Formats: sequence, C-alpha cells, structure tokens
Amino acid sequence: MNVHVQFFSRLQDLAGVSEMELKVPEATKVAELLEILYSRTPALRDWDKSILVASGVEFVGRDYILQREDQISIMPPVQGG
Amino acid sequence: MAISVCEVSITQSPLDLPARENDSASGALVDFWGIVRALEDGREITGIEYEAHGSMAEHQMRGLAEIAIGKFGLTKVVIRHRIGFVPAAEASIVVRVASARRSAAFSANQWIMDELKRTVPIWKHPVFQDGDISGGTSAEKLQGSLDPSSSRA
Repeated sequence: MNVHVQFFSRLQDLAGVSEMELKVPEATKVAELLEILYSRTPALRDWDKSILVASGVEFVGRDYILQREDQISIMPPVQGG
Repeated sequence: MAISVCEVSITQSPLDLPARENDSASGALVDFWGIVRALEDGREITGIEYEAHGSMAEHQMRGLAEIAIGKFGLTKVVIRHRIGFVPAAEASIVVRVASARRSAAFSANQWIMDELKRTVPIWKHPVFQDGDISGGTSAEKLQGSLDPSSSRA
C-alpha cells in the first residue's frame, strides 16, 4: 500500500526532500517505516530518540499501524512560541 | 455558564489583539506576548524564521485552547502564532485568556505556553547578523524533549 511521508525542519534538510510516496507492506508500524527511512537516509537515525511522528494532524506512537493513503509527518522536537 | 470564546490562528502578518471588551463575567484578563530576542546563544540575530506544519499546528493549538477552557474554567482563549520571518523585538506569539479570577487566568496562560512549546509543530531557525541561517538545535540538544503524545491532563 502507499503512504505519503512529509519531512519538516532539520529532518527535511537531512532527507533531501520535503515529501515522498512510499510503498509499504500492509500492517507496517511506524517503527518499521522509520527503519525504511533510515536505510535510505542513515543520517536520520541520529535523531531516532527525538523524532516525532504524526498521522494527519495527530501525533502517533511507534506502534501505530499505518493505514492506506496515510499522510505521515516526520518531525524533530517542536520549538514554537 | 456563558459559552467560552476560543480563537486560534497562524499568520505571516505582525500580531495584534483586539481591544479589551467589557465583560462582566471575566474578572481577569491576561495577555502574554512572546518577543523575539536579539541574542541567540550569545550571537546577535536579525530575527527568527518560523516554520510550521500549518494544519497540524492549528489543530493542536485548538485542542490546547479547548482543554484549557475546561481545565481552568476560562471564558476566553485567543492564541495567535506568527510564522515566516519575525524580526528581533517583534512578537512571535500572543496568548490572551480571560476567566472569573486572576489565579486561573495566570495559571492558564502559563500552562498554554508550556504545552504549546511541547506539542505544537512549529520550529525556529535563527537568522544571524552575518546572514547565516541556523538549522536549529542539534539532535543531541533535543534528546531530552518531552513526548508530545503523552498526557496533557
């Protein structure tokens, strides 16, 4: 199935793209998606402990199971205000 | 109980707030303005470039405002965050809360700012006097950040 992945802030610089379409197996978890992304861009792994992930407009954990056509955001810790 | 007013927005324009309205139900109104400082880690900056995940940031801000209304019994919440380039000395955020009593208003404003810095997807890129645009804080420095998916209660 396809998922849409967006990168923000420093992670966009590291990934070298702002967004991408990825084909992943059914029932892929966020943790597994991150491993796919780390294999494509090893520098992202340095951020593993602090990377935030969202599906749509809600934060999700590493156990979240990706849904077909999910809009996934990969983000560093937030710094608003 | 009167219906509470909740307004959140993200804008590229300079921030402002409407004039205070006469409201006999609100004994306290607290405005907080967050201002861009001219120094970042001891270096002079011209301002900060703010980047947002726009739709998610607005959603998260609205969620915070709604929680704050229930948690602190507020009659009004306004949260406005500026993005894009914000020059030093100008405001990047303004939070207005109103409630029956001052302790709730002060506490609510502080709570909203603390939670916003933890859960609203907005990032800063300081722009230094020499034109250098910082990529932000290093992964190491941010390792200790709180998990925004944890409880806000």
